Amino acid sequence: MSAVMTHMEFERLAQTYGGDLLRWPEKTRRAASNFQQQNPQSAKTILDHQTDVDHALAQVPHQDIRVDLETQILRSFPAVQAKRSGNRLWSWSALLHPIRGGMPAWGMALALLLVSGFIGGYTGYAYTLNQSGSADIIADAFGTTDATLFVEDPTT
Amino acid sequence: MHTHTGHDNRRSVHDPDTALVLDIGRGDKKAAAILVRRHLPKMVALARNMLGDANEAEDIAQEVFLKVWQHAGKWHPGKAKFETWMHRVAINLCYDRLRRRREVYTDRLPETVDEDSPGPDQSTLDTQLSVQIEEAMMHLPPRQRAALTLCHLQETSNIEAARIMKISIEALESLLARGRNGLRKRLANKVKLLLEK
Repeated sequence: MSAVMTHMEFERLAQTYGGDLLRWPEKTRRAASNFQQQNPQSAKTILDHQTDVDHALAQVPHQDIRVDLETQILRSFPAVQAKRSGNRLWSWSALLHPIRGGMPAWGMALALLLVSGFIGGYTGYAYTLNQSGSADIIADAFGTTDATLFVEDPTT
Repeated sequence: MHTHTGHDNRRSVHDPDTALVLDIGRGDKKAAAILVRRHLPKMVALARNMLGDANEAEDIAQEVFLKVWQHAGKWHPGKAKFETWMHRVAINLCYDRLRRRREVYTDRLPETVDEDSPGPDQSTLDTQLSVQIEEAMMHLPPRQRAALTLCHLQETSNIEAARIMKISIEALESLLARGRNGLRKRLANKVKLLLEK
């Protein structure tokens, strides 16, 4: 990284990160310090112009942590399911896990696709997938996101 | 407790939380308690600055740690710091809540002052100033607010903040500059009035 900084760059960084060089990206500080030494008045003017916002940000209210918040959070965690013992070729929970489930998990995803198509045709409504398409069905079968899968699109 | 160093030689991402996350993934609640204690203040502060409400900030923090508990078992150490993921989750939850709010954030303090009342003492002025500043922050677009909160208030590096927000450093710097400018404009008159009292 160059140790030379232009007036414009110094000003841009001050407008971005404020008047304290210690808040600037580490790789820019040496060049900024050099600029400051070579152009003390210009640098001071630029940095002083940021004092108002720096002081304001220092006054942003601080929220004390409620004493029992940690306990409340820990109590909100659902109980961990006991691990199954013994060797099993497959289990219901494995259907939702791609690595453990393997073929059964893919079979589950395909079954969901078939069922949704049947229901959509039977009721007269077209359940259309969201923009991501069938990938979301498979992703949801593996328990990754909370994304809504279907958008109801009533046909006439 | 697991003694993983958190350092992946392949990717050189040192993460002090790796050992805890691996234990949490195995259902270790003591490890979860340590992680909560370690990161709770930052999560609450981030959410408070994004939402401007103490109760909602606590809700967000709770949601973040619940997601930690639910997803820790899927974490692959070495790719990124776990704290980066938590920050990202917190910010996204805040964005969701702001979208659901869909209300105009209104100032809380009245503009008029009782002329006959004695002048406010310094602590009252400080409180009013803090409130005004928080309200000015709340009037910034959420992404500018997020950038300022991460970089200035939480002293996250620009690289890490850009990673959290999933944007380039240039985009982050643009948000920071516009956020600072927006704050200055919003506060200019109000702070001047308060400081003159």
